[in-house]
Amino acid sequence: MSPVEVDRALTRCTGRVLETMCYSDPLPITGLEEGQPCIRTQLRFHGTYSGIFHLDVTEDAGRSLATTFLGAEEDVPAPEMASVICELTNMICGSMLSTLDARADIQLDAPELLVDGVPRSEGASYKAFEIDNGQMAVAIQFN
Amino acid sequence: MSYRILIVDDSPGMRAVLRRVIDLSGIPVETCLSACHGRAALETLGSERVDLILTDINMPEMNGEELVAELKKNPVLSRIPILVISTDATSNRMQRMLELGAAGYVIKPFQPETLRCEVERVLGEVHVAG
Repeated sequence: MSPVEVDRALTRCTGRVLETMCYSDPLPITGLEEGQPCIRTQLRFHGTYSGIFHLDVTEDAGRSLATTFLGAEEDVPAPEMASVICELTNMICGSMLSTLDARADIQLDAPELLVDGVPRSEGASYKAFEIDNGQMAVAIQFN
Repeated sequence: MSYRILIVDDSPGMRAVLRRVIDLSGIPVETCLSACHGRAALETLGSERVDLILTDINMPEMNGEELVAELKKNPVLSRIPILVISTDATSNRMQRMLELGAAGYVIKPFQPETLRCEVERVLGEVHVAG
């Protein structure tokens, strides 16, 4: 698959997941503003394709996404917010890999919360978005 | 008739979403049980009557594929319809789960209406079969 296909799938699948599960309409931007507190996750995948997927979301945006995802009327506690961000990571990555190759055989590991940010790797496809109350970035790198 | 539904997913967030969709669907539900992986689901099924199982695939301990295979080996539990709910939209995986005996497959992300229709379809087949 070409880098252009991967970039398109990353944008399309992130949009589809956020629109369907969180009623959010992400707008592409060049990158996350530095210095904002973020929730960060990573997910490794194996099989026909292997690699790693990353998601960074600013805290206020993550809280908004989690509240809408759960249909909660008030802000959700931090552990529930983390669980939702992990589930969104799983959905975006799974949706993207299936979109890129519907005949692939792929296993996804459980998403992990990261304490520190991961520097953007050379060769990774990266997309950032403005969303409700903040920003989100996703990146995928194939081995 | 009110149904007893078992939700199997390692994500607490996803379990909450599935439960909310079912609660809002209008489907008569007596109780919604939950388990965080296949092995916990089997333990629950050892002591609880269940009319429908909704299961994820990627889970620790025992994944959804192993769970479906285990259930289909059991003469009593094999009658419970299983709806798989997964991000994996690859044809190989969907075909494998349906061949193992899953009654349906819903791809995440999903519209609440999609899930409601699938749950109703599967429960409707139970009525016809019964």
